[in-house]
Amino acid sequence: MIRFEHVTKRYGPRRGVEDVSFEVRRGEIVGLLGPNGAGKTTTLRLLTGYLPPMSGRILVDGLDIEEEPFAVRRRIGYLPDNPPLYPEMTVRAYLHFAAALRDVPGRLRAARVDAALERFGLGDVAGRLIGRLSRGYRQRVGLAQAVVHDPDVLVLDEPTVGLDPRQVSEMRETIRSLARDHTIVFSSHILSEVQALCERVVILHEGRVVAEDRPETLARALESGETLFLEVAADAERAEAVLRAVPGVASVTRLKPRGAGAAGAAFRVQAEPGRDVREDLFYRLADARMPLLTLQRDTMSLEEVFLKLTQEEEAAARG
Amino acid sequence: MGKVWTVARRELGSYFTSPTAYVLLAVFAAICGYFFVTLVVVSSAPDVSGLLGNVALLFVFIAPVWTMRLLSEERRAGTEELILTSPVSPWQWVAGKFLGTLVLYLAFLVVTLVYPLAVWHYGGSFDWHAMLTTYLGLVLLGAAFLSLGLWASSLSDNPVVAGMIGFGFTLLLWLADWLGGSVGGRLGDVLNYLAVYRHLWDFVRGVIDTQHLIYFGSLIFAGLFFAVRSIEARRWT
Repeated sequence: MIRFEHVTKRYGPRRGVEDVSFEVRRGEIVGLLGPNGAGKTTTLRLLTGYLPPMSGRILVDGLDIEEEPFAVRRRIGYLPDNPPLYPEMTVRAYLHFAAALRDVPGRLRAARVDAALERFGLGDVAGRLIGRLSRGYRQRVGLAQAVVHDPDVLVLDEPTVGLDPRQVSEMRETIRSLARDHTIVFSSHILSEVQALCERVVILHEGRVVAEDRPETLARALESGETLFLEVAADAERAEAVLRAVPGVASVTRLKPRGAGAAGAAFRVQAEPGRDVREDLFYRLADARMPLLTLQRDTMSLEEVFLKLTQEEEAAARG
Repeated sequence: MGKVWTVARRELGSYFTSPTAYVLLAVFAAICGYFFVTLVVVSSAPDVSGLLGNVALLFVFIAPVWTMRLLSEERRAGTEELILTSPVSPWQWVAGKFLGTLVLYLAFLVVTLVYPLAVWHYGGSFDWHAMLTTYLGLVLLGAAFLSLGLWASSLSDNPVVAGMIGFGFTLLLWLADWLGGSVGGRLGDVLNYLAVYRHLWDFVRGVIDTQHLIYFGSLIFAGLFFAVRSIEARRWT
């Protein structure tokens, strides 16, 4: 549905995005993840045709966005990070305007506007001026504007920024429901959000794609061996010696015991990639008469994945 | 054309849902009333064409204020992003904006019709023909100033800065022949040619001359053209 082929965009000497390639299939919901300044907004602006690429190609539904800009734009609904609203217009008039701009035929406009008003719970404020609406309502008007022409692709730039927690969860619910009819590309710097919503993640850092995959796969692929948390009822130093002697253990870190007055010691054990050391750990400790109190797998959150990726990137750049 | 009209209608609508149009209309009407009283009512030699010439001067000041937020505000508020990611070309957008303000300007001119009609009603000296050509001149002059103001508005995302640039355009056009007279030569000719009042004058006297139509037409086209170019150029930076 969407394909970026080696797309580069710079702002004068400043970096925008460099050699970005990725693909989004029809019906998918894909999150662009990265810290501020990573190139998320630039990528979305390139996709919507607001900015032209300096090199590379962007295809939407097989059409090059530079060669057939209008055909592509009719297929896209876009909510920029700042909803593009006219405060002096009423909600209904604004949606009519947006529908007319996007080539919704005159006879269908009223029905489409009504449908959008209803879908986003805007019926009660249809006659109010946009400037008088609260932030949450404005965001909904922004979304209504993006879907009023029933596009194939929805592009949402940081759709939950600036909303209160309840509105955030409503917005996520809405995005999920929109995903039934639309291919969605959205950006976020909040990892849990991306993890909760997307089928696939594209991680951007300093204008480049550093990873692209399903959130779970990404987390798994990046683990260099399993990490275990364990508590042992024994002297910390002696227990550490036992743990280090277990074959397949890459490293052992001594932690503070969890809980007040906890007897014994706590460790984080990193296994070598591809090895399951849990059984060996159990028997070795048992042989040494050190009762194992807790054994727990630590999976990496997307947050750690992200930090790790960006640190590797930086290290590579320095090296 | 459909898109142009969509943009123009929205523009007109927002003039009237915000105080802008009403304030401009009130100030404009008040000042015209003042001109009418001083130049016609209490004057020993009542002269409607002089009144209309002053309306033109008034527009030197009003046109930049009128147009300053047209494009700059869209850029600042981010609504530009909605327009430019819709199937609308920069030409359609700029033409729509221009048309919207032009319609409002024509409405203002209709308000000023009350003065010549009053003179005619009370039997003052009156030349229908000259009045019509004068209004044609005012329409062209207004369109040119609005177009230049629109260009100024595309140059900054700060409406006040855009307004000052626009004011520079209109005032310099008004005063171009001040310098033109003393410089002389080719440059002087150019400056004299640019002076807007020299082109308006024939219309006020009842003459429609093609060279003046070309002059105003060129200004209108130049303003729109450069506005479009500056929108397009910004995408590439």
